[in-house]
Amino acid sequence: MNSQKKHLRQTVHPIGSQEIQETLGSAKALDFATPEALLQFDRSITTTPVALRHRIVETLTQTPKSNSIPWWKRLF
Amino acid sequence: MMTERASNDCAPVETPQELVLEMTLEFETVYAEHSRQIFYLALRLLGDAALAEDAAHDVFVKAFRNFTGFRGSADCRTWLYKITINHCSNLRKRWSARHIHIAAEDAVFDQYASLDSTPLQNLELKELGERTQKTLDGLPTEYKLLLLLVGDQDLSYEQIGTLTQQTAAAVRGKLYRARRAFSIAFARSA
Repeated sequence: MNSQKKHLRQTVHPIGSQEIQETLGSAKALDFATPEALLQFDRSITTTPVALRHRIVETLTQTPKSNSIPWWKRLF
Repeated sequence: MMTERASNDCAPVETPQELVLEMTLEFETVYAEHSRQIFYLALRLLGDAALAEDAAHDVFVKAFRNFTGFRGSADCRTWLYKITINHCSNLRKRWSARHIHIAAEDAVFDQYASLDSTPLQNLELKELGERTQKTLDGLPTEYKLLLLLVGDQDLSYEQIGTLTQQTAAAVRGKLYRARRAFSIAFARSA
């Protein structure tokens, strides 16, 4: 089991922005003893795409009314 | 959705701009609180950043179209997770039917690179992301989902049980085996 824990460890150099240093620092403290710890760290360093928010707002504001006539009814 | 909401509230007819503003305010709150979790779940379930972005987009659009019906009936995070799980599961079924496979090697992990860090750190984080994805992909789907959900500390075993349609006790039991399987597979992926 100890050998498994060792493999879960990640060595990350503490250089870079304050944000990433804090994140990596907390990851070191957790030492990825459990898969959850690793996944929590993985999630914390995953950034949501900037375009996503804009895309959603655009879709929501441009969505036609649900009771609009279907395309096939307009044809026939 | 807009007209339904206006009529439900018995409010005077709002201008499109007012409706957009109201929707935007509501959207901002929910999005700010849950977008990272939803995107991350989609990313790890689908294994591709671009597809995860599309999935997260569809989830939030779907959620907002049904927001009136949802209000106050359940926990928002759980509700969004439910939509995400169903959406990703449907996508995977469709790909499976069309024999489309997403390999972890082909997946894009550029979302890490956006952090202001050194190239070496970016590389290490990228490798970690790829190893995590490969390990998760090698697990049974149920274990993968349980680990991803339990990684969210805001969720209780009861909520995870609701999301995966089983009891909290069953979640605990399966989680033990899922952790073990993950640890072994992760060690082998080194």
